Amino acid sequence: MKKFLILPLAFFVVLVVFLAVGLKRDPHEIPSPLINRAAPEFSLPTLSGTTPFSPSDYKGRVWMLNVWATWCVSCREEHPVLVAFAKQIGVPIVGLSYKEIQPQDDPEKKLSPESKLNLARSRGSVWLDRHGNPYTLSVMDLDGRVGIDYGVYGVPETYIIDKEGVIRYKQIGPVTPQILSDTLLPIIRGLENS
Amino acid sequence: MSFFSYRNECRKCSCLNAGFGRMAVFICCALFLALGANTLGAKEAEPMASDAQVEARLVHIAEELRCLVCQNESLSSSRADLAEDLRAQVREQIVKGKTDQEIKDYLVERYGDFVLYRPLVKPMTWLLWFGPFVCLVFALGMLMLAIKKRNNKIQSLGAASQHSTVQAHHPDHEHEHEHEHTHDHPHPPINSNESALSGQKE
Repeated sequence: MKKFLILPLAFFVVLVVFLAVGLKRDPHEIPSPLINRAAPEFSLPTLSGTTPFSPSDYKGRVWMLNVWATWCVSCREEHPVLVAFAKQIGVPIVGLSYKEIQPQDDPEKKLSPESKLNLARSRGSVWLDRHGNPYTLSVMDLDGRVGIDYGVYGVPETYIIDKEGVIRYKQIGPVTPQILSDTLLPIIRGLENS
Repeated sequence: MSFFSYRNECRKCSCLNAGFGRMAVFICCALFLALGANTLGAKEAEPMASDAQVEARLVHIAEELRCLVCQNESLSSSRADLAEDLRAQVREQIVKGKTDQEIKDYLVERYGDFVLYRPLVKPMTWLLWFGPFVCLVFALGMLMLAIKKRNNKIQSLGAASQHSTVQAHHPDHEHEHEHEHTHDHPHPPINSNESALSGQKE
């Protein structure tokens, strides 16, 4: 009789382990298939209006790509952290201004691409003036195409890209001081020394 | 803590809207086809038909894809902005003449296997795909074993009980014989007990 109970018990234990692991995982953190793959190439206008930026410009350097928007609520939580630690991070932080002009901003789709870009630039710079600017430069992804190429599905998201232009880490959700010091900074230091 | 800005978007896509969007697309397609067939000449109908075809294919593909923002909705029924953007991408690629597989691969490349409602069959998902069948076979095996064991038990029990009933019949018969013999005595066991006791005493 006791022998007979071992199997169902073993099944139960395995099931509980599966469920326990499942409980601990955040279903909103979807592992990115782009980790350890080359960062998708793009060329986008910058916020300040300098020459367009492409990831290949930073070849040979470790850098961070931080997806942000002025309409993004969680970014307000993350932004002060980036501002405070920008120097400590010590690598260029490129901001990807993601779909700054939302559909409701232009319900009749009257805005020309140029006026959209101008509106996004002025909004972005006002926001950065007010909250501080941790970015070496910011690029304008108005239609979210570059975002899709990077697998962005929420804002904020942060990517760490190594000297060869390979994505090494993706942070989904806001960067907190703890995530920064426990996860991001060790990865950045490791990549810098390699 | 508000995590994703997009998470708020899920409020936009309530359950009511989810089915409604798909229905609306379907009704629109049906109307287009009906109008095209009845009121317009073949020449004018062609671009509409191809448009409807694109939409039908879009719905067909997007139904197999998961919206990453509202994870329990398909890409075809979600009202999240990202879903709209991704639908636009899919539509664009359909027009370009890409196959369903190529379009799905395009999204998997960016968002991972998670976008597929039907997980791929690969070592990582073997447990998922074959686990239930393994469990079923295992359970059936256990059941067969249990039945066999039980049958054996019943058989051996049957044989044993047959054996024991044959043995048991003799004392019964003897009893019956005794009863027959002691019919004139009203309480034969007590009598015999008494006689035994008296015998012991003696």
